[in-house]
Amino acid sequence: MMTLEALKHYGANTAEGMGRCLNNESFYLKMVAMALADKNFDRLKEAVDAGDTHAAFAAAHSLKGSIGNVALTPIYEPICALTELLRGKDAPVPGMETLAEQITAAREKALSL
Amino acid sequence: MSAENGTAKSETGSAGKRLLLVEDNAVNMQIAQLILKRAGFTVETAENGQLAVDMVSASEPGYYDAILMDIQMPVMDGYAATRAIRALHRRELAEIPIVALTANVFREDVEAAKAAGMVAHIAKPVDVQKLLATLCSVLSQR
Repeated sequence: MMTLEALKHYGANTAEGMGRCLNNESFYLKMVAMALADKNFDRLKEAVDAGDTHAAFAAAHSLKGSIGNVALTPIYEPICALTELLRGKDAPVPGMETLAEQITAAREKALSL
Repeated sequence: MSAENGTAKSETGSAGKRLLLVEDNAVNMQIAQLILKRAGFTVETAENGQLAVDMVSASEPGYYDAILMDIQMPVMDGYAATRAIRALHRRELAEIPIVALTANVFREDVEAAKAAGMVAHIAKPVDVQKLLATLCSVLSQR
């Protein structure tokens, strides 16, 4: 079961996430679970695999807000990097697959907590 | 009643104020609702720009005091929704303050929000104090 302590150990900025959730632990953990279940993770992977940079940017941008709000730093940082990389790009760019893989790995690690 | 962070209703200017929160992501919406309701605002929600335009169009002047608008949304994005609200025939509805609430934080995004008719810009991930301070400022100018 995911706990605040496990998230902290994972590298989440739980103080920041909890602050945004007004220090309501059960609410924060519920938001974390919802953020990790976001279908944009699948959309991002599909878009990167297809070389669709616009769809990948849209998915990454959407995740940036929710993952950032719950302060899941190990996922948030590669998402920010990927969003910057894909912004305004019409064709696949070097590094996007690596960042997408980092996001997937970080998400899977969080889901295993 | 005060917000968890100690901000009183009088400080946020929330007393008696109703906001329309336009956001397609459930996590972002629930967190924003928690913060805003705890600060004393009444909050209604719409999950895309078109619904927001419909709700504003159908409202009486003064029903909504301000709108918090995400940008990237399905059906109708925040820029298009803002332009549509600004084009409403009833001036009191067209002039409702609209604040961008978005992960788009580049200079051109802020400029685009302004060009669409938004009066302020708040970045996501949301900073609670900045959100409430911005709303206080926007509402005090009405």
